[in-house]
Amino acid sequence: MNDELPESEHSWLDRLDAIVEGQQAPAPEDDELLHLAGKLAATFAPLRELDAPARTRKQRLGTKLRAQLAASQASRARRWLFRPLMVAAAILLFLLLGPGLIFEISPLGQSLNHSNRTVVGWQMNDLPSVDQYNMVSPPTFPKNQPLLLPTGLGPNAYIVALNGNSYGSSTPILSYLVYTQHAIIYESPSNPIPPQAFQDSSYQVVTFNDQQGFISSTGDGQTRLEWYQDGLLCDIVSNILTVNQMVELAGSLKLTNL
Amino acid sequence: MQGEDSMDIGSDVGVPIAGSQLSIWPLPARQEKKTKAQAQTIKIGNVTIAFDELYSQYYARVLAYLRFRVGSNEVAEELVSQVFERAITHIGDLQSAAALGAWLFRIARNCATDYFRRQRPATSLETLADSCHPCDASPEEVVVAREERMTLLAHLNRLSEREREVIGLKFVACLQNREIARVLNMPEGTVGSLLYRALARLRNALHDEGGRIDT
Repeated sequence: MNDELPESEHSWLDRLDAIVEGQQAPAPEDDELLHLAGKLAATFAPLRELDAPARTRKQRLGTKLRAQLAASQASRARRWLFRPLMVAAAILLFLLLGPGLIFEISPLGQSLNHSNRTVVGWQMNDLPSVDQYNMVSPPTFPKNQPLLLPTGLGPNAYIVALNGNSYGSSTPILSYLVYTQHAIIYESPSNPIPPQAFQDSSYQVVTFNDQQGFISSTGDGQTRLEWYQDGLLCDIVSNILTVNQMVELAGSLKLTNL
Repeated sequence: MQGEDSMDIGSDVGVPIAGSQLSIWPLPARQEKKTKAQAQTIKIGNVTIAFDELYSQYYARVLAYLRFRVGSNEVAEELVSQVFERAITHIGDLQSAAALGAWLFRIARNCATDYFRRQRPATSLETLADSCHPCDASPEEVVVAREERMTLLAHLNRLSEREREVIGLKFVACLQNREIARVLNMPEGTVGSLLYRALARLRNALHDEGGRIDT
């Protein structure tokens, strides 16, 4: 007898599938093999049936597997989170601390940038590059340093950075950077801005919390607000915030002793 | 929806500036804990499958296939646990949900092979004769059908290992030919030819024994 698949291979296989799946019973015109297939399908169908004890065991195994799956997924999630430790730390920094505060000392800050404050014909100096500020860990942050900080931050929601280099000066001259989400705040202990500075028509003068500040643009096109408060010469620089938002941010800062 | 269990870390760190829309601190999206009532799901490629659905769909078929392979209900139940435990452990490696059935039966096949390596049992398909009767069959029907099954299973035993394998995957596990091809790592056309040849040999053996196939 011929044991090769007939030329009408596809239709024969389709009939076979229909019989195996129980969609159709073998018809009289089907060949003997399809009838045999029907017999085999009927013979083995009861193997797929579960009696009561088998159903109980199935249920028990299902419960065990669900627990295993949950543990496996939790473990996979943990691995995904912790394996790339450095990346995770960076993400965490961005998500939780990025918009917070980063402080640093710039020994050149005050002397370089605001040395001519008392000169009539006031001119705002360029701010130092943020590259000159280096981050350091909280334990080395200067104690009792008053800074103007955004209010309402969580107790650990900032990073302190410190540069102890005096750059040849007998005493380090400190200046700080406060990074917020949309702006950078420069803060340097300084003498007050002389009153005559506000007579300079080159800058737009704004008033908030009974104090005055200047609005100008930086060399790279960012908006800059400078003012003096609580012994600190402060600058907010941003390319995102509007002038009103910058003024609002400046007005909301609170003097905090770290 | 924000239930009592929902995590709100935004209130600890969020600092919206009073009187403006500006927030200088990112407010993390609220996360909600999954309730226990939520179904456990498994993600395979881009498809998410409910575990219960997968389990219900394949448990009985995998168990039946293992019963066919090892000829023992007890061993088959032991192996079916291993199959699903292995599947849960490695399901993250599966790339396509379309391959799930074939993948599961390949695990089942491997478990059965491992069992044979360990035990080297002299299994015979005739041992299934008592298992292969419908639950609702009458005692008389069971006796008559048993004789027929014994004959059929005895002849199945004489097929080659590969032919028996393909018969098991087709008639017991009810897999499509393309799934069988994946399990056995062979072209789909070969599966069709193997099935045809196995049925033809079975028919010939029945004829040689004087048996007949009712048409």
